[in-house]
Formats: sequence, structure tokens, C-alpha cells
Amino acid sequence: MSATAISPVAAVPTVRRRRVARLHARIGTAGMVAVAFLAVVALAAILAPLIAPNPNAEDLLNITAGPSLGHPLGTDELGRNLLSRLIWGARTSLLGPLIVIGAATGVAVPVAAVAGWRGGAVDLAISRLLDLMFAFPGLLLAILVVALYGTGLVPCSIALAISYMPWIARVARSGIVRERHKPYIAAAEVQGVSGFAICVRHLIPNISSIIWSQVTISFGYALVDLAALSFLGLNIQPPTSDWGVMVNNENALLDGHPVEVLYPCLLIVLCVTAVTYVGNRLASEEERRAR
Amino acid sequence: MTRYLGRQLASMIVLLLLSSIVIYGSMYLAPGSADAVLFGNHTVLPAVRKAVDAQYHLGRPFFVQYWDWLTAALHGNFGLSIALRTPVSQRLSAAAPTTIFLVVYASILITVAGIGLGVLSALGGRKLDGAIMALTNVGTSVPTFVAAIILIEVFALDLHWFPVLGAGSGFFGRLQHLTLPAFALAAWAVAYLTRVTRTSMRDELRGEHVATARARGLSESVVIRRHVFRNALLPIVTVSGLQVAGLIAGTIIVEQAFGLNGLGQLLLSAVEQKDFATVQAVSLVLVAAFVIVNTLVDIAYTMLDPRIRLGAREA
Amino acid sequence: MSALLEVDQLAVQLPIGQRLRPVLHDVSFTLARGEVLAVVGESGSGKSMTARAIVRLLPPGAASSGRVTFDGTDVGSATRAQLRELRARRVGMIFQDPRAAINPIHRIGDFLTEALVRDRRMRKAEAHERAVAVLGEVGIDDPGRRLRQHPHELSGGMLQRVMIASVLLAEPDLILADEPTTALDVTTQAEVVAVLGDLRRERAMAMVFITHDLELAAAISDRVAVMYAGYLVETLPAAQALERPIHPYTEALLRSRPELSRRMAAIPQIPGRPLAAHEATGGCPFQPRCSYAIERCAAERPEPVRLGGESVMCHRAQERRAAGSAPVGEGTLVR
Repeated sequence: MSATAISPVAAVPTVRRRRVARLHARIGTAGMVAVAFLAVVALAAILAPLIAPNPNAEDLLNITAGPSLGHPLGTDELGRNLLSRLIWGARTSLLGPLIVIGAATGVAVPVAAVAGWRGGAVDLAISRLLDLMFAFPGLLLAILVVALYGTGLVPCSIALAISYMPWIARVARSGIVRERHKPYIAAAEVQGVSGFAICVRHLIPNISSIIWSQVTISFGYALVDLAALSFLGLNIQPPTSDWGVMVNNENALLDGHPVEVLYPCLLIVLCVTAVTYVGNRLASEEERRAR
Repeated sequence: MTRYLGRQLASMIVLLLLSSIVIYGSMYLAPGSADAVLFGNHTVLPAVRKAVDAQYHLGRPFFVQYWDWLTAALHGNFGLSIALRTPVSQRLSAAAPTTIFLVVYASILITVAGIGLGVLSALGGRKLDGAIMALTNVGTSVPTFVAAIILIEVFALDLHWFPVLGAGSGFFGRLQHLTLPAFALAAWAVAYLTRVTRTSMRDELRGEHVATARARGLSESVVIRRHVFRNALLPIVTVSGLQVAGLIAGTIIVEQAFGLNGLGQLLLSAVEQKDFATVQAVSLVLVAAFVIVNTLVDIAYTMLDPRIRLGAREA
Repeated sequence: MSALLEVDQLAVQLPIGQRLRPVLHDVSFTLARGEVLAVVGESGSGKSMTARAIVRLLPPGAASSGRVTFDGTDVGSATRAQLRELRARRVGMIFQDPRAAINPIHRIGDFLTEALVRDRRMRKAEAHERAVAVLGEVGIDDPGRRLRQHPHELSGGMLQRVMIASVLLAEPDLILADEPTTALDVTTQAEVVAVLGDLRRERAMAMVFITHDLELAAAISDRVAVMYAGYLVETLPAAQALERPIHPYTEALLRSRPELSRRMAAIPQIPGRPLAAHEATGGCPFQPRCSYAIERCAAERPEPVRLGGESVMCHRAQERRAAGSAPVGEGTLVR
């Protein structure tokens, strides 16, 4: 558990350093590497307008070119800078799952809190509703929504948020049910604290780590699903640069220029691996602590 | 047992009805009238419009419309495809064989390879276990469409072992054409099932009942088969069933990647053609398959575990 | 008559964390045909490990040394086939928790007849008949119906009877009973012990009976072996175990049982906590908790000495025997 392994943060205030050390203790060195990788990708996405030239600028004299100073990863079939497209692509590719999981969690946690807190018939009704939602595959729901509202990030994200909601809600509900019967909750109830306040101040904060691990894992799945929807031509539309869109280019494979497809593939795999690894570490840490 | 089966069947039917309501009713959630959704941007002849109106009874109350649509669908009549002016059922039956072949092929791969590798990993030496686990680490981090791209690039374009596109005809033609798609479709699930199988086997191996079996001098193969694998089967069946159910959605991606004219491709082109009758029909078929497979898994699970079989589940 | 079972200098190490740690130290004893030896000790003292080592049923990664000889054959160097033969026909094992030890997935009938049908190639009908008969013997009524049931439909006491029946079916020469009543209700404990004792006697099977209950041990056995921290500290005739044990640990065990005949202010306890086998140092393992300890006890581990029918691992064994050891029940040793 050496804090030296993460020397770049040595200069930040001690509170934050302690937080980093605590995270390190939970997810290990490999987990910190994963987090660092994700941070670099996210930073690149945020700073894209500053660091990457126009991803749609076509350099028709240099199509399918190899790496050069101007195009560090070469160009695609229209002479567009691949590195620039990957960096700009990170924006939509990461923003999408952020919207999906944010919306899903925002609905799931209150729903789970109501189910877990009220119990009885309310719980039963909500649980049944969640079961029903599990019966509808997310990808299919997204396609249905696209058929009605047209393609794009918004309809796809809404559809996926709906299909991810029950997963997060189920995990949160079981956490709340477990926590609900602990003495400190009864103590708060006896003191006359309102159910709402107990949920917001005690229950939800106490299960936040369970929610976080599920949210992290779900983020990885959402990233894959949105990229898959782009790949199917339903999410982000070309020429906007997006990893899934870049993969949806079988002509490049057939024309013997696979790198422009393989780079985004690699980035997707790396991001998913990193996110899933961190999520699984958080989950197993949670399991260990529950025992 | 009969009561349990009855309840499972009832809940399956309820799920099917509710999903079909969602699929049918969704066209009322769209911007614009149901009329506009159904006809999309197509200019239609009065005769076609009449036929569609007869199918959907658009003026009538919602549940009457829905019921007519559903009963017609159950009789194999999914209405008219606005884009092609042909019955939707024709398009469905043309596309279904490819998808069914693909899903069955991938299901076989998943169960055979997933369970096989998992058992090997649990029983084999440390090196074998490490190698298989490394493989599953890769497998679970590669999304289906990436697997498809890599398989196309390596085995179709570089090595020329398999054709790139198309579904082939005849059994062996299909087998050859659908091998790469089936592998792409199965890859993630194989890796996942391998892990589940390994964990489950290892848990059982530590069980006291295995020590009993060994203490009774039973042969190692009997111990492994009857007391380890048989007990480990419960989570394995559940997970393989869920994976197979998941294939039904995954097939859309693989069909797109390999240019296969299956149900997934039909769904996508219907979306593109704004052919909502076809979208509804394919969605209904896919969701129904998904729900039915899930129910079968639940029932299989119950058959395998005597503790649940006798109604301990009520609690 | 030569001994049925000879255990000589048996030592076992288990992988705990990264290292191999000893759980059994130089355990030696013999068992004659038809004889019952009770092994007594606290949890973690190595009782179960001793029983498992007899049939080489050790956890993966375990290392062992010493010699176990069963009816003239060396168990340590037995081939896989010989070992299976030994486990299947000569030695039967009864486990502590029948719920965990009987596979929940198969029917009781399958469990009972499995070995007969799969291993001895007996016809199913015959195996079934035998199972019915032996279930009746262990006191289960309506055996035919029970055979069709699953373990979760039977009570713990019933299941342990099934376990006993499964061992009787194999007609072994030796039964290893590893705390067979610990997981059961008090009321069923006595019944199960009685069934096991009676049926064993009828068939003249030898038995190693493991328990933490000294009185039960003395009641069921011919001889009692007392274990502490992986050492066999005393072996003595059952009749003597409750009267005048020599080893201070046995004496302390005896004192720390609550007496039923009179009200006690407090149940005497042995001071200190039990030692894990790997924590034992150079001296006597019981020395830190022993009120008779002398300087030598901390420095030098005693070797077992034979005194008449007994074997005792204590430096002061001679003088304690001569003194007739302390009269039990006065509470001089403990608070």
C-alpha cells in the first residue's frame, strides 16, 4: 500500500491524498492503473477542442496514410486524422454511458429506497415491475425507441437508461433491505426522524459503496451497448466521430486498411476492461466487508 | 410440481402479454399519429391503406385494436410490410432460418465450450487453470461486435478460412458461413460461463459431501460426476440459459457485422425503411423467444434442485 | 492378536496462508479388533485430522509423516486402488454434520446404495433391500418411503442415522466417527449414540469415536485418548478416565464439566486459551495453562511414558500417579 506508486498526486492537499490512498487500498495497484488510464481518456475527451484538430478535416492527398508527424496514427479512407477522430470520439463514447447510468441511477435509487423502506405491498409491486423490465432486452428496447423517434444519442440513451434502471435498483434495494433492520435505523425512527430523512441521511449513504460498484460495472456495459448501437447505425451518425461509428466501417477491412477499425476497437476494449476491473474490485471488496 | 409449473407458465404468459402491449402500444408514444408511424414516409396506394386500416382498426379503442393485432399475430398474420408491400410473415419466415441456425450453433458452442473449459479449469493443474483464466479475461472484455471484427479480419480476410459475408445455403454451406458469426456471438458468453462453471465446481469440491464420497471409496470419476459436477450444475444451467437468452439480442449485432439476412438484419432494415409493422413483428418474435427461454431456464433449475422442487420456493 | 490399526508417530502439516503449519505432532496409538477408542479434545486439537489421516483423507496441499498401518498394510504407501478398497470396505467414516456430509441432490436411497451398486456391482433390487433392512435397524420407520426422500426432508438426527446406516452397509472393520452427535439436538444425541454403539457391538466392529465430551467418551469406549494442541497427551482405560486421570489437562477437562447433582456458583474453567497446534513451542504444550507446571515443563517437551495401561505425556506423570493425583471435585486447580 505504498503512496509512492502514485507520485503524481504527491503535491495535492493531504485530504485528497488520503482519499487516493483509501481508493488504492480498495482497488489495488492494478485498479489505480485502470483509473489513471480512464482519467487520461476522459481528460483527452474534455480537452479535445484544445488538443485535437478538426476530426472531419479531409486531407485527400493523404488517404489511408501511415503514421506521420501531422497524423500520429495515420489517416482513414477520407484522409481524416485518426488520432483526432479517436480523441473526439471519446467525447460521445464516454458521454453516452454517463447519461445512461446517471439517469438510471437517478431513478433507481429513489425507487429502491421506497421499495426497501416501505416494504410490504409497495416493495412487492416495485419488485414485480422490475422483474417485468428484466424481461425486455435493452438492445431491443433501444431499437424500438429508435424506430419511433429516429436515430441519435438521446433516444438510445433513454432506452438504455430504462433497461439499466432495474439492475441498479435491484442491487440498491437489497442493500437497503439489509441496512434497514440495523439498530441505528430503529434508533433514528424512535427519535422521530422522518422516513425520508433517514433514507437520505443514513440508508443511502450507507449503501453508497454497493451502488458505486454496480454503477461502475454498469457503466462498462452501457459503453459497450452504446458503441454497439452506433455500430448498428442507430446511435451517433457519421460523420460525427464516435468509436462505435468508426468500427462500423467494414469497407476499411475489405480494402485492407483495418487499423482505422482496430484502434477504436482497442480503445473500447481497454476502457471496458478498466471500468469492469475497478467495478469488480469494488464489488468483491464490498462482499469481503459484508462477511 | 404441477402447481409450480402452472405458476411459471402463467407468469410467462403475463410477461408475454405485457411485452406485446408495450410493443404494440409504443406506436402511440411516438410523435405524430399512429397513422404516421405505420405509414412512415411512404406514399401508399388507397388499396394498401385500406388493407392496413383493416389490419389495425385504427379508429377503434386501444385494447380492441391490440387484441385484434395479437390474435392475428398468433395466427401468423403480422400484417403488411409497408416498405415491400408483402406480408410481414413472409419476410419473417425468410429471415428466421438463418437466425435460428446461428442461435442454435452459438448455444451449442456456449454450453460445450463454456462448461468444458470451466470443468478443465477447476480440475486441471495450476498452469492449465491459469491459461484458461487468462483466456476468459480476454473473452469477457471483448464486446460482440469487436469479436466479430477481429474474426473477420483474421480468419476471413487474412487466412481466407471462412467467407466474409452471407449466410450460405444448405446445411454445410450454412455451417461454413455461420461458423465465424457463431463464434463471435458465443465468445463473451463462453468466457463468462467458463468462470461460473469453474467457481461452482470449486465450491462443490470443497463440500463435505465430497469428502464423504471419497471416504466411501467411490472412484474419482463417480465422485466428480455425481457429487461435484451434478451439484455444480445449478448455477451453470441458470447462467447458460441466461446467456442463450441474451444471444437473441446479440444476433442483431452479429448479423449486421457479417451481413446475414436474419431476423436482426430484418429488424434493422425495417427501422431504416420506417416499416413499423415489421419492427413490431420482429420485436414480438424476439421478445417472445427471450421470455420463453428464460422460463425454460427457471423450470430446468427447479427440476435440478430437489429443495426447490418441493415448493420451498414459496417462502 | 495383532492390532487392527497402528498409528505410529503420525504428524500432519497443513498449508495455512503461505506456510505449512503442523496440526498433528507425533501421534501414536493402537487399536485392537472390536475395540473402541474415544478421542477427546477441544476444537482444533487435531482429533478430526487424526481420523482423516487414517484413511489419507487430507486436504489438498497437506503433508504428513509417520506410519499408519491398517491390518498389516501401510496406508501411507497404498496405491490409489488399494486406498479405495480400504475406504470402501474396511474403514467407514461418519461425519459431524450429516446435512453437509450427505449430498443434498440425491435421494436417500441413492446415497445408501451408491457404493454397493457402483462399486460392488450389486443388483439394484438387492442393494435396495439391504438399505431397507439397515434403515430399520438404525431405527428409521417406514424405510421404503425414506429411501425415496431427499435429505432436506429428514431431521438432523434422522440423517445421522442414515449416515450410520451407510457405514453399516459397507460392513467395515473399523468405524471412524467424527463427532457424530455434535450437530444434533441434545435429545437425539443420546439415541444416535445408542444406535451406533449397539449396532457396532453386534457386528464386532472397531471404532474410533471422536468427541469433546469426556464423559460420553468414557461411556462409549474401552480406552480414551486425550488430545491437546495436536499432541496426544494421554491414553488411558475408559474406566479410569473419570476417576483418576494423570495428565493435568485431562484432570482440568474433568473439572470443567458442570456437575448435575449440585448447584455450582460458577463452572470452573481452564485458565488461558487453547493453543493452536502450530503455536506450540519447545516445552510442554499445556504448560502455560497448567497449575502443576514446573520449570522443566517450559524448557523441555515431555515424551510419552507408559505407566501400566496408560501412556502419559507429562514430566510429573510418575509422581502424580504415585500420589494418586488430586481428588477430583475439590476445585483446587481452577477458579
